[in-house]
Amino acid sequence: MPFALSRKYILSFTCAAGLVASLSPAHADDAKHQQENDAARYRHTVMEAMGSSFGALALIMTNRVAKPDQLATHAKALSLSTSVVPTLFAEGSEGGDALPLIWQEQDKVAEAAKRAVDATAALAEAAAAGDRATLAKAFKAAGESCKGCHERYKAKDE
Amino acid sequence: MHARAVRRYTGALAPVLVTILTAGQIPPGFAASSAGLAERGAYLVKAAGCVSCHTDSENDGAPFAGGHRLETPYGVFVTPNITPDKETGIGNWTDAEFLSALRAGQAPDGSAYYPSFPYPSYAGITDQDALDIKAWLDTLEPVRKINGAHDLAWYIPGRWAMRIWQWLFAPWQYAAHTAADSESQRGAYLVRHLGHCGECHTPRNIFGALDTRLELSGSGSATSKGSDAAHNEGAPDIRPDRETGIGAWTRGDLELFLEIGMLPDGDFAGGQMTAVIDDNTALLTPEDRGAIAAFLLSLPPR
Repeated sequence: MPFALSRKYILSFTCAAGLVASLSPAHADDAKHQQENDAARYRHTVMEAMGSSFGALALIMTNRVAKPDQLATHAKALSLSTSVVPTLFAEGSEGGDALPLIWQEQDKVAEAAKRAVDATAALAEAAAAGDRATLAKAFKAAGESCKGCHERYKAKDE
Repeated sequence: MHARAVRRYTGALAPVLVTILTAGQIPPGFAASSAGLAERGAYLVKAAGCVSCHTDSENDGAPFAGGHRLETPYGVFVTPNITPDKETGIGNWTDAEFLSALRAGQAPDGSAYYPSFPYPSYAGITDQDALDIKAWLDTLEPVRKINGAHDLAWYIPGRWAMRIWQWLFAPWQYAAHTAADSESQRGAYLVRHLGHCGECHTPRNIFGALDTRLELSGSGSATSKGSDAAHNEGAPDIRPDRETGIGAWTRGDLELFLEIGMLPDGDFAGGQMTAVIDDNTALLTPEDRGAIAAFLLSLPPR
């Protein structure tokens, strides 16, 4: 039957193709791509953690949530997750929302990452100390250190 | 107060001034009292945002010595020197001349200012506040600095025409703010007069006068999406409309925004609002930021 024959034909062709593909360099590319994706996903996940800490801080700072005693906790969490940012843009981690420009301007990116680390460390300190006005300034500096990078190096939503 | 009323008023000003300056003070206390006025004035200068326009910060110009190029849809206005330099600043101005300039847009030589200087907003500033502002400006180091001429669009008439414009449009007329609480009254004073928020956030008619019926409902093509405003002419709707304005904002959101410029979505204000926050609202007392928030949230949505 021409139909059964053609099915068998297709099946064997697919198997052969799969075998060839699994042995070819194209498969190695896939594996590399997978690693890249994981590195990009990891970066994205860490950034989300930072965003969540920042969001929790904002909800308290705007008095939407009356838990001022938890400011220090979220500020510390933010500072800790930000401390790994300088490691997040290694060669081979391209992808996701990160624009290719990052890997053309590695020195500038490293500086900006350092600024974010310092700004969030200062924020954690201010939150622990508890003075509202100092905290607001540190919060602003931390937020602007995020924004400063995102404007130049992150793909726009839309 | 109406512009003509201001002018009439300034004619009879000298005795009033004496009364203000000496009220409750014994003569030897005059120096101390004028220092006290200057201190109040320092705060009011921040609330009025004077430094943002009267400083050429792009070229590291001296504060208040002018020379900033104010880009508007009508062309570029170059701001004047308001340090107390006698030749190039306002060091020779009398108190009456200062009040006339600040609130009625009239220069000491009798000519009329373009309303890029927001005197139609400043018209509502109280005598005491205006004179305290002058007292503080008088304490500045005089800076000798001559600033260039405006570079206006071809269809903008000369300053002579501003007399007619003033007669027609200045000062801005606002519906009385009916909320009875003194907090939002204070907010209205800060927003409408000292802070002159409407100069950007209220739409203008074809003569460049504010349409105060649409007070603070946004101008140009700006949206309320924070930094997008930087890429557009104009400023967003800041009435409590849920769709187009700040209807979803809480008082705390507004207070924190005025303090550090963060929008409720975590983005930060961009464009000209950055200077407004850094030079003006961030330097106000928490009570005054609260008053501004109370007033804005008391307005009906557009």
